[in-house]
Amino acid sequence: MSNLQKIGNVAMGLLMIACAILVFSFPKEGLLIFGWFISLALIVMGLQKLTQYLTMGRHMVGGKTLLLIGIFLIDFGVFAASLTDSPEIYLVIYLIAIYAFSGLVSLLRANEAKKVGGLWKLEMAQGVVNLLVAVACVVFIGSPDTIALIFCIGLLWSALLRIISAFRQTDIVYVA
Amino acid sequence: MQKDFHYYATYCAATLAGYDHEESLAISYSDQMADWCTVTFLESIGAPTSAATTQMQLELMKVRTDPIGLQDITRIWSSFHFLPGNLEADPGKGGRRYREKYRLICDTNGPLVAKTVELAKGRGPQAVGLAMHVVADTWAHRYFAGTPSLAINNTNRHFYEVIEGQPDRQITFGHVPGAADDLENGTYNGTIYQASERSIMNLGHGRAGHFPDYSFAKYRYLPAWADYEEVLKDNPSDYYQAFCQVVYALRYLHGDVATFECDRYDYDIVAPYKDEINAIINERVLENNEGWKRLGEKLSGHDIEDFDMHAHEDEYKSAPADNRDGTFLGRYILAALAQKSMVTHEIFASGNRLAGRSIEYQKGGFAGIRDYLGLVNYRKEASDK
Amino acid sequence: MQTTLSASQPTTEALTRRDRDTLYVIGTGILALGAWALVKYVMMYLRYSQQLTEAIGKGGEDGAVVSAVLGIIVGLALFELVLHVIVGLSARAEGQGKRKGFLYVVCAVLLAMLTFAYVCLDVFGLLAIEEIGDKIDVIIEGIIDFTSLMMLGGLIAATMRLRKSEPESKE
Repeated sequence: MSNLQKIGNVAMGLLMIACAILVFSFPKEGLLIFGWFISLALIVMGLQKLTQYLTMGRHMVGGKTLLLIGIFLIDFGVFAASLTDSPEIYLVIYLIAIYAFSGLVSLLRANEAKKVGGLWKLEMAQGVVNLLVAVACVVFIGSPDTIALIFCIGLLWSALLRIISAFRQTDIVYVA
Repeated sequence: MQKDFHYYATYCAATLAGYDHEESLAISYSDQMADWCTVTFLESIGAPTSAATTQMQLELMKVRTDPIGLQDITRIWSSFHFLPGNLEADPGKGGRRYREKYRLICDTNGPLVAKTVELAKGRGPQAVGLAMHVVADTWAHRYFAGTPSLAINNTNRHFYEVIEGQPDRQITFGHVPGAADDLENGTYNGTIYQASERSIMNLGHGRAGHFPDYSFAKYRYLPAWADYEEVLKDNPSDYYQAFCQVVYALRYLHGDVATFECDRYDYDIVAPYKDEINAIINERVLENNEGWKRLGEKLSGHDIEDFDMHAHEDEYKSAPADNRDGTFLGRYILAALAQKSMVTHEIFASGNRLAGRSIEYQKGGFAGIRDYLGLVNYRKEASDK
Repeated sequence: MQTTLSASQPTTEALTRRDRDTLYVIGTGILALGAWALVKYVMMYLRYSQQLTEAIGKGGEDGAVVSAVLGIIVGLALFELVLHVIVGLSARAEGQGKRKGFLYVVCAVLLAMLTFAYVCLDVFGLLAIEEIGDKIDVIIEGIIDFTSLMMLGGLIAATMRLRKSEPESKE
């Protein structure tokens, strides 16, 4: 990771901490903001993928995959946005699903890195916490304030890991 | 290609081309050094880091993939390992970004091959060896590009090993870095799929791991840029061609041939050893150092010492600063700078910005990376000769 | 083949591989869309379950109508899901070179017709609804439905081309 990327990671970590404080201070509004943030992030990622497809991917073998990824990311993003209009329970369910999915992906990545002898503990920690957040939210689904607190904790943990990873060696990249 | 070809086979080719044992060793050392001369190595001996001819895994971990970082990566890999075949190629599709990457696809017998060989003329064994590395790699690495690009370098599940007497075997690349490839079961390692266009995982033939570098490998696959056309890559045949071309190029550099032309091969000189060479190439091993070494020692009558990347370090480090260019590594470094400068300029002159800007010294004077100042005298030397 | 780095007309084999790859990728997309549709139906049910339970619980003619409508919706949802699974799995298999029967093409056409109906409903809904929030919801649905329609169209076209170029069964 270059110095610029390290600075970027630390800055993002601090921003995430600020968001966590916001969600904690104003649970109801905070959850909505969180939902909008996730929605925006997904839509931007989707648009990036679509751009990649239009400029490069449509000329490559198997490039349609990029198109589908882009479309799905945008769909997930606008769906998240639409949930901010609905009773917050649906937004919570959606966020639970996202946390559970990303937790699973982190665990799989950590497992792969472990097999390699690469760094895996941080990724594993992230995955476990994400899954715990998802499970805890399901357990306390009837209490929006508790859920907001749980999301805060999840966000703080992610922020902490991001800041720590900025100063650690990243996983080995295999190139022939 | 790997050490068996870059070091031992090049030694064999140099001997056949008329170089003596010491010269052949120097040439083959310089050839193999192109796979070891990293920024880390150059820093350790106090040499200009712009002369880096490769990047190791740990260095690639730290490299940026912003436009500046990508230019640095492209300069190294396109100059020494994935020499572009045709900087004017027309893909018939896509915009400027796609076209620029398409034009960096490595191929044999392109105009840059001739320029690479001619650049080494009269420069000593270091430049000769480095040039032979570049020429040889065009045969193993053809159809991949020396820049990170999913759209050019990706491979997919349509990847089959062709083995004589057996049905074609589909290869699925695992992602366990450090684990040895298993030839018996057809299990090989490659980089993990990353949907990002500029990911380091999509550099060169990383998606196919080391497989394209195996001399015995015959395989068919769908290059990402080829519109679903299947390519049959016949390494045994290509490696033999590569060897014969290297012999021809070395004879030119030795002074036995007046001019160097692409697509010419010294089949006649190699013919007496054809069966032996083909047996070495076709032997199903990860690296056939023993086979090539045996042939080389038979050809020259001398023992070939093992490659040691630190062999010339002390000479370089102990030389006074203004005398370092005259040492073995000093001359190698100048040759590397010259090659990188030439290729970067050619890419830039074709309108392609992927390797960064290039400024012609004759027209614009010196500007840019200080390391290249040494090239000014290097070129003056050649023109005086 | 001797590959060169210049553009040329694609060979028949290349076109076949492209169509197979299209089937494999879109088949995967159809499966994912089916899963997505299931998620949406479940979430819709959760959202309106209380109102539905109350309406059905009231009994009488209204209750019967609600029950019937709910039954139709559930039946349609299940039918749609089954179509997604058949079409998705079969397209993936055909993309890998295994010739599938014509049933899955029929299913793909049925699914496309259903999706086209959804798109039409989305357009009518957009014109009829005035509330901005609801309009946005309809647009969202419309984008997803239109995407599905395009994917199904691509899938059917690729299948037809493949069957035209390879008329014999390979199973």
